[in-house]
Amino acid sequence: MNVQWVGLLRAWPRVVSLAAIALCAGATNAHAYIDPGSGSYAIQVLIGLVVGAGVAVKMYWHRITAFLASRNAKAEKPTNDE
Amino acid sequence: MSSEVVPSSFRDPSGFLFRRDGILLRQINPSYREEYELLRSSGLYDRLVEMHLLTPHTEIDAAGATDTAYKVIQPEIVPFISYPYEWSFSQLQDAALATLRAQRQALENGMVLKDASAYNIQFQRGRPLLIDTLSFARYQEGEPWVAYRQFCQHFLAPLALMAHRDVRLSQLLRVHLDGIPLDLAARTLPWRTRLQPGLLMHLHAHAASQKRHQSRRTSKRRARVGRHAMRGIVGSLEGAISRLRWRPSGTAWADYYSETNYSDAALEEKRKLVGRFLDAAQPRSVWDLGANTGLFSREASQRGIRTIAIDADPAAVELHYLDVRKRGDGNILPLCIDLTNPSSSMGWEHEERDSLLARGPADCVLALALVHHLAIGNNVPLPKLASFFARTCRSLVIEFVPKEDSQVERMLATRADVFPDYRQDVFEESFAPHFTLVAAEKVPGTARTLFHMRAASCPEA
Repeated sequence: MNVQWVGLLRAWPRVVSLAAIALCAGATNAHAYIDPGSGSYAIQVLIGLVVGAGVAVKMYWHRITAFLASRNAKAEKPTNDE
Repeated sequence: MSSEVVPSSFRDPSGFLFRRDGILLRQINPSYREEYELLRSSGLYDRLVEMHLLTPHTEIDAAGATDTAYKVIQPEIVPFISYPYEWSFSQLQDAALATLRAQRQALENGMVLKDASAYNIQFQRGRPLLIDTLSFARYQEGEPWVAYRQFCQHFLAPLALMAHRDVRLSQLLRVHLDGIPLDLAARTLPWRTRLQPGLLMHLHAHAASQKRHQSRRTSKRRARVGRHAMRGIVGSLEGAISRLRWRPSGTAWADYYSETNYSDAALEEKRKLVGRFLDAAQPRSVWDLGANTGLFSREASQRGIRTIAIDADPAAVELHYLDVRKRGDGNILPLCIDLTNPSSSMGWEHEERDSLLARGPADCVLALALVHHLAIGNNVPLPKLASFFARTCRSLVIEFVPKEDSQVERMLATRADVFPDYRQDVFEESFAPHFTLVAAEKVPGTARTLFHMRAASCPEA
């Protein structure tokens, strides 16, 4: 169970990177007026989701592993009792 | 008591720089009061000064400021202002990382950098330092980083271009004073840079997002970036910047010392001679023009003299900076400037960024093994060279390299000798109207002569 969760979390950057690549495919020279503020705010939200998740995971890693370990222990307990 | 506003200081409504009786001061406007008090009360100011990331200041009497001044501060003086388009790759990289460290610390103290301009960083005692005390704003949970675009344009884009395309692209910063537009950087960078997550996100996807939003508006309120996300963005930028690499190799200049015809003994004699002339001149500041990797800049630096080491070759300047950084030599600032086209006055009303000459004069200029490059390599007649040097310094240590020298012979081997006036007697005649000769000595073991001259009319600082 915990292995699946960790795998999913690790895959996040790759998933979002692919999405970003798709975005980049449309990048062309901007001759018109650009409002860099809007685009820069928008991309921060996206990047923030990716890297922010990483920061949160790093900060709470011990709690997450402890939680997953306790769940595993509970799940394994009944089989031991049989 | 005379006061004048510094011409480059007009954009920030929080305050401005002015000079009172020649002393540089910063006025803080009432609109910045709350933020300034938070900067002090949160401990951020003390912490950043302790980390050598922010220029220290003292609060002083507000007389001479405008009526609306909330406070006047006197920042520690940066003796020589340099600009990002004059920095080597590692200098710009170190400046970028210093900006991010300041931002990271600001977040810890409940504030944020509202401004991430490369022009807010100066090299003081060899280290990059934030000089704008008014760059900090209160951090509002959820707000995106307002200076993110500026950081990417001022630091990430030029560094990526230098590392992945060509180091000379740093000169785009001379054209784009507010940093290199991200769409331009994205189009110029090799496609493979999209495979690097940092460059993909902060540069390519960022440029694409700007393009997508050019006709839409995303307000700061709608775009929410949490605290973890903000830290993650700063960390990710640090990673992207740190991973960029450029190592000089194979340039004509980086190997210059090993390729000259100087014997070790002649080089040592020249070093001693330069040292003696410096001891006689007693300068407080030196510009070593054509410094290469700084062999002779060290002569000045070892005497505790502030030395600006200027060279046109990005590889030489990079190697020099890496050496200075490794040795912790705070007296030398290597800069990449081409004397045949030195930095000019730029920006609004030509007053935001000073030309090289406007930042002088130096007490002493070293021009060693330089004259032949300018006179023969760049066709500058000797009288014009003399008038140029007269504008740069109060005293001059200059080497004349005659045609018999193998370096000049090599330069003339592939071109017609159209320099009948390139002779030592003409050199001395050309400099006589501007300089008084103090001493002239042959460099032992060579055909060269080293002159020590004093400017006839010393330009004022």
